[in-house]
This record gives sequence, C-alpha cells and structure tokens, in this order.
Amino acid sequence: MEDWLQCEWWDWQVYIANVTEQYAQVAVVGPDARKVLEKLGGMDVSKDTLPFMQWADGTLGGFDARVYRISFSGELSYEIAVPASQGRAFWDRLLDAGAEFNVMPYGTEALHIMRAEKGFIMIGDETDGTVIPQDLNLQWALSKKKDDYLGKRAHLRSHMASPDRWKLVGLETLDGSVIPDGAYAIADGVNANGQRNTQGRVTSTYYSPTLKRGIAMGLVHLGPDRMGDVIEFNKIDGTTVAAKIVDPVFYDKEGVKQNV
Amino acid sequence: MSNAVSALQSKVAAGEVTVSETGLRGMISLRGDLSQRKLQKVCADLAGVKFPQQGQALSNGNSGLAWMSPDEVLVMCDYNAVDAGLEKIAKALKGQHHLATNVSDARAVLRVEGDFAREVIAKLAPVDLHPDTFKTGDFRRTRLGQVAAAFWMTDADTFEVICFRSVAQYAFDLLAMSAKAGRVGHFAP
Repeated sequence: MEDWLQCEWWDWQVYIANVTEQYAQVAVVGPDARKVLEKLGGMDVSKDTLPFMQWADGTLGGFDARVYRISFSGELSYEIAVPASQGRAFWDRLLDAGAEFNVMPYGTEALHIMRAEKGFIMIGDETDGTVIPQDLNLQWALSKKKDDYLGKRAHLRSHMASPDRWKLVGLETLDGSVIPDGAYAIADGVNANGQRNTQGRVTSTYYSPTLKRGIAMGLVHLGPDRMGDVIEFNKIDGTTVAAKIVDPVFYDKEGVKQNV
Repeated sequence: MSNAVSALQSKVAAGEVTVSETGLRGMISLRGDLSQRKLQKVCADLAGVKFPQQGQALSNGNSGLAWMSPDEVLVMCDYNAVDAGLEKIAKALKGQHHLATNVSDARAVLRVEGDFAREVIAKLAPVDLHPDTFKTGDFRRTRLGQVAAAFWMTDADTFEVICFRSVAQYAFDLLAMSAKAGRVGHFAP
C-alpha cells in the first residue's frame, strides 16, 4: 500500500501506518466462548449487539479490546485484540475465567482440521500464485460494475476468463481413508513427456475426528460441474485411491454453530 | 495499566558494554507535513527537545523525537502519556491532513552502553559508524542482523535501539553476543 501511495497515487491525501505489532490477538472459540467473555464483562457481546461478522471496540475485564465476531473454526468465536504489552495478562485472565468451562489452548493442527471440515480455504494451501478467485468459486466477489480495480485487467486475459480451469471442490474417499498430501488426480493418457495426465490435485487433506473419515479439498478440472463423479488420486506406493467429488463444506453447511 | 509489560521486562546483559531493555516507552507515529511550524511545535512541546533535522534523533530519558522519513516523525514519551499526547496532536493539527497513532506496544527499546558500544552496533548493521560520520544525535533506520531496527546515539558511549516487539529477544541476544565477543579496535584513535 505504501508503494502504491508513493508511486501510483502520490497526490492522494492518505497516510497509512503498520500497527500489526501493536496488538496481541486471542481467539476465544467454542459454544461457551460468550459465557467466558460475559464473565470478564465490560461490553455487550450478545448475538443481537455483536452479530456474526461484526466488530466492536470496548473493554473486557478492564482491558481495552477490539472484539471481532469472526470464526475460522466454524464454532461460536471471537477474536480479541488488546495492546501487545497486555497480551500475556489478558491470556492469563481468559484461562482463569474459562477454567470452569474446561478452557484449553488449541493449536494450528486442530484449527486446520476444523476449518477444512467447514470448507474454509487457507491461503497457501488452496491457493498459490496461479489460483484466482474464480477457481475458488469466489466469482461473486469480483465486481462487474466497477470501471477498474487492482487486478481487473488480469482477470480479462483469456486464460483467466476461461471457464476451463481447475476449481475448488470437496473430496471424499470411497474407503474413508485420507488422501495423501500433494496427491494428483490422474486422467487418461500421457503428456508429451510421457508423464501421466492429470485432472486435479489435492490442496488440503485430513482425518476428521468429527466425521470419522478422511476429508479433503482439491482443485479439479471443471470440478463444481462434476459433483458425484469418482476420480482416482495417486499414492506413493503406485496404486490409487478413489474419491467422490462433493461440496467442500463437510460439516454444519448452514453455519448454525457459529451463528448463535 | 498495571497489566502492561515490555517485551523483555527490562532484561540486562551486563559487561564491558552493557545491553539492556529500557522497559515500556510511549511512542506516537506521526505522519504529516514536517515543515509545518504547528507540527514541529506540538512535537517539541510533547518531547521537550528540539524538532530533529533529517536523519536525526534527539532524546532525553523516555522523551524524544526521531526523524523517520520526509513525512514521518516518531514522538517518544512516558508510556502513560500517549493518550494525552495524541489529544494534543489532534488539537494542534485539527483540520490538517495527518496521521497520529499509538505504536508503544509495537516496539521494544534497547540500550547499548559502554566504551566500544559503537563497535557492538557496527558489527551488526550496514551503516558507516565511523566517529567522524555517525555522531550523537544521528539516527538510522536500518537492520540489525536479520531484523529491521533503528538506532541513535544519546552520548559518545550510548546507543538506543528500537525494533519490533516480536523480535526484541533476537535483537537483544544479537547485541549481547556482539558485546560479549568484544572490541574490534577498528575505530580506536
């Protein structure tokens, strides 16, 4: 942004500041998350005042806080930013207040599995430098009305605008196993180098303890138009595993659990 | 604010050159037209030092001013004085295009003190630290090893270093190691 402001739109009266390090941010997640925050007190975090996808400034237990009602786990969830110098004190207070609800720290592996159950993409997993919003079925987020925006010209290029691309889908193995990380979906025939043709690849793959089976997301050629098709993913031992193309949201499709 | 702690909680590595974390310091990042008298005056009033020239920093204890870029100055003060400082800036620059924000918790301040402090820094930063070139009051935004940092001299044997809070331990260890490794003698008279 600073680059754009200095080099492209130097005549704008706009200043920005990087305040990432000014804050420590803690996610308080789970069906009892609201009860813990209400125990700290200081601001209204109810469903009506602070609905899903809203944020508010206030205090919690005497800490200056910016509370975001967002969820990467699919559960009732708040992310709370406090001044970094008070991050540890706030964390300790949350563990203390949450003790009666069996609060515990949860790590990124648990978070990754929960977000995959919800079909939430992870930048760097479902995306790399070649993946565009349309591939993730996010074409709704690209304005058709705006004359211009950053990246608009790129979206107009023939390969980008073509519907003939690998697109995001969910994958369910027929035998319930976990598709190996990095596996490709094989297609008929070989390419000019004698390599097996491919028609997609897995981008996230986990064992879901909730669903008691392997779940995955992947980018598959014309994937969303092929719901229910069964395709084969390669394995290191030279065999393949059959997986059905399904909706990427495996759990709580209506979003009931985060909207309470 | 009794809950607030600095990144390293005033850690000290004592030696011929001593490295210490100064504890919490108030910092306001101010962007605007630095040539403006009103801006210069409110900064000088808040910090109790003269408004710095390009590439300079002036400080006295926790208070000070550092020239960050042609449109940015860092105002330093006591940690608990930031809100009042922001109010004064908003009042002084009312109606004028500027940005002022609290960055106190985003940073750590380290002090490097001793007769070869200059060499402790020179081993780590791509900056000409020859005594004829870098003097008390000179300020650089640069790197220490692998991280972004800025420093200035408060007297002939003392540097103050600021870095992001999340890399405070790295910067401290780096400076302490450079101090422990001892004098090079490159700048010896």
